[in-house]
Amino acid sequence: MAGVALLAGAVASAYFGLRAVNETLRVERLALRLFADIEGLQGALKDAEALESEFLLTGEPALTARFDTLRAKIIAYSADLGKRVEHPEQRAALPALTIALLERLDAVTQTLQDRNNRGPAEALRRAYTPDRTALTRRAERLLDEASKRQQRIVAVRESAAAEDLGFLERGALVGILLAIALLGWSLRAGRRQELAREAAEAGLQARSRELRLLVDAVPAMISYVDTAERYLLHNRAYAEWLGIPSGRIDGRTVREVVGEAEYEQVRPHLARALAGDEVHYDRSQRHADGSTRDLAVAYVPHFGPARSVLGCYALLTDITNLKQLSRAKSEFVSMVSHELRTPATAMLGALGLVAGGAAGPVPEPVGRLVEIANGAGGRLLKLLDDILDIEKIESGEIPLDLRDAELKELIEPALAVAGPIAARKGVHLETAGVVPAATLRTDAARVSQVLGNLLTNAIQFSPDGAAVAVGVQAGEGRCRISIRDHGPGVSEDFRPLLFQKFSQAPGAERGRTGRSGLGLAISKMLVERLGGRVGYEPAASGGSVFWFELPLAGPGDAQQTEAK
Amino acid sequence: MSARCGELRRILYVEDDESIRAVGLLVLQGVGGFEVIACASGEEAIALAPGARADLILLDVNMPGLDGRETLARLRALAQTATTPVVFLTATQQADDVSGLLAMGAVDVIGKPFEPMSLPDRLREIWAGATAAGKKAG
Repeated sequence: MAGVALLAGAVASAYFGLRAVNETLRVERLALRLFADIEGLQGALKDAEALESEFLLTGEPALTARFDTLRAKIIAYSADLGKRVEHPEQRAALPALTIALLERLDAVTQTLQDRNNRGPAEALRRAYTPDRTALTRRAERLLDEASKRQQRIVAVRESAAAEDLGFLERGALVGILLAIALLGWSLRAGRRQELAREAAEAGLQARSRELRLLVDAVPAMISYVDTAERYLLHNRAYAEWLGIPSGRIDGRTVREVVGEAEYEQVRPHLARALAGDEVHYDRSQRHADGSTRDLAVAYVPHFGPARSVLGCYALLTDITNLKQLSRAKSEFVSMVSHELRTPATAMLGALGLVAGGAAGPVPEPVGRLVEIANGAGGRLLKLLDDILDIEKIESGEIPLDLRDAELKELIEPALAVAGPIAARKGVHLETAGVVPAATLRTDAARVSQVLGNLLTNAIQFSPDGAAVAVGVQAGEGRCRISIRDHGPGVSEDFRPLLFQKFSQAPGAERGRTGRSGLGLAISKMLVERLGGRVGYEPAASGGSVFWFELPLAGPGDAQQTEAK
Repeated sequence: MSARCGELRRILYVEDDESIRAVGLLVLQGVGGFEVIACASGEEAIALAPGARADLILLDVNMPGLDGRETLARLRALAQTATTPVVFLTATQQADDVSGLLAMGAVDVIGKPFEPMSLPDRLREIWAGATAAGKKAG
């Protein structure tokens, strides 16, 4: 822009003296043109060298074609030069310059051939011999000399002209000089830009081909639609999935391509994505082969300047097999736990009858054995329940019954259940302080399950006669329920594994504690599903504190429930 | 029916698993002192029910052939058992399954494994509740 403005100024200043200096300048113009030509030649030679080294490195065939063009340009330049040179000094130097240029061009041609025929290492070796380097220097030096000579000639002519002409004419001359120099500069810049653009375009085309290959090879359906829900791009898998020839997708709208019924499924999600949200959802869709398949869909909005949405990318993955697998796993787990429950029912029923005296009086050693068998059977059932629970939580099938509940209502049932267990072990179960009045929007049965798990753990790890204290705090939108015991605590090594499935603390006797190793994992999953978190910290004076936090019911809860 | 005057006496017990059926019989007869007509399948229950004159039907859910749900529907279609209280026995732990069973018209659902020594008393309570409700409704 600045160049154009300068040019305009120069031309304007030149206008006034133009008529007077016209004739004198005809010769000058020619001299200056020559000057520009020499500069152009210098540039082209530099380009040829750059191209030579690029080809050495990459061996990209497109570069050879570009070199041919460049070579033709350089030869045309030197021919022009021959026609324009008038000054005897310059004319005398011309043949040597032309020869040096042609030799240099031949050297580049040789390098390109070497690269093709002998490989990059050999070509590199041959390209940078002392001879070649000397040749390059000579061509550069001769061009440089020609340029300086021309500068000098122009300067001499200029001063001669200045003597002949007055102030006005000098102004015009300077103006024109400036204009022509700028013109030459801009022409050269233009040529450079053109070369750069050609290179960029070639690069872009190669990139675009690579990207196309990649996008087509991805085992997922990919498409892009603009804000009018018109396809601008899709990959092969997408067309194959729909069973529509690739040529009949781009340019048409989603409604036209997928059909009215599918479009109704897609529409609300697509609208959200085109409003700027990233959207993930699952849906089933008819495949071209007629089967109904499960798809995981992701829409990613494409933003333009100022976060305006230009369109959205869609990524669709066929998860039919995954879903089948997950269903099969769920079915298997429920089937196994159900099938195991049947013999356990008969076994525990029979043992219960014996222990209850229904089959007559039980001698002391038999009674003890029956008690052990009964306890082990109970553990087996607990394990089955826990596995089923984990499976349901993990597959997201666990239904949560969210209602408003008082904190007190959540704590008391769990304490009532844990009471007899504590009593059997001689452990004192106590509430530390008063339970604050607070309301939670949560699944009371699940909270009791978590608290029950933590209490049972605490009781089982407590020494006989020790106390287990339940502390409850509420504030800042959350409540924290903590259970403190005076047991052996949790070793630092084991802490990271504490809430993982089937993790048993070293030294914990399974038979004695009656734990499945799933209780803490289930507690963590449940609390997290309920929007809270669990944790452990060692108690200050020995023993453990297990805690969990849950959000208190807030004014926004009713709204959230509606949104779900 | 003999027991309508206030006592649960006769139970039609349907259970396909032989071991559980044996334990169940011991519980109901031995501990509970009930008269029990035991059936090994839903089909057998449908055949025996009209003549059984049971006060309560204790019905396993998961059975080959006619399962508990289907058996309940057929029992309801029989004049003699159209209003007899039915209690389901099930190994399922799923709350939605339990509420589904209640919605079918069962008066209660007892989970497996059951506590053998207390089952008879539990059945008495359920039955008392059901007949009181039935009288009110009647």
